[in-house]
Amino acid sequence: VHGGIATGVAQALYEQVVYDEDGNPMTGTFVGYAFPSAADLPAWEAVEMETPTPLNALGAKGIGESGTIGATPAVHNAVVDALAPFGVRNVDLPANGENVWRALQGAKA
Amino acid sequence: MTKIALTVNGSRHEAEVEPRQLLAYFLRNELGLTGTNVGCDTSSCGACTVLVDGESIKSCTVLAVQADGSEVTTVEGIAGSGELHPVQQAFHEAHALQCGYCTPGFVMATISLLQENPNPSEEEIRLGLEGNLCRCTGYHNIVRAVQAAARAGA
Repeated sequence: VHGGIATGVAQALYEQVVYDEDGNPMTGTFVGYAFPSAADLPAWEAVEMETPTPLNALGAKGIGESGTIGATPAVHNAVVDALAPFGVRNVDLPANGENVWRALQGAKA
Repeated sequence: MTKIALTVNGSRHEAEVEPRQLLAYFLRNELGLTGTNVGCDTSSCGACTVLVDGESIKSCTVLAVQADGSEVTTVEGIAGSGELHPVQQAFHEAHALQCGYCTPGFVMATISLLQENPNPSEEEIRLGLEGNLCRCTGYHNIVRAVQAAARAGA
């Protein structure tokens, strides 16, 4: 779950593959891709919540990398919410410095 | 070819290497020490971290000839007979790994970090291990393992 959350947060804030106009990949290393290190992420606290599905006899649901699914919208919505007072309603993923700056410029226009 | 002589995990080795050969590939292909993983080949990920004269380096970006005359320690060289190194033990107990590919690099980087700073804060641990990447764990349990290893006096 921890790793799933980290992957989801990373998609919201950091990771990106960039191509030039001719389709050449410009992201050649994990550094350019902005794969987060331990210094870029917080500690996690995982809390178990049981919500059985009524759709099968066991109440079981798939759980693979469940942390990933919620983490990206949770973090990204927080960024958009923080920028709402400036008139921002959307920030392209990932919400890195450049995309936040572009969103702010777009909101001013 | 260039002749080099170095000590790896306490054993002395003399070898003829191509000047362009990287230390990681020398360790893996010539000495068979495949515990040193190559993750990215661009010194981004730290999976290839080993100690050269006690200091952690990324062996995919160091030439074998640069290690001439030095003492190299890989993950194979840190455990005692039948006993894990305290940092390995801490990683095991804190469940600080999942797929394990980054683990040898993290263990070696942790040994180097704790030599420099035996009682690091959580922030110092996170900054100290910034050069090592892990996709599986989200780092939480790795940080806990380093804290446990520090408490154990590793």
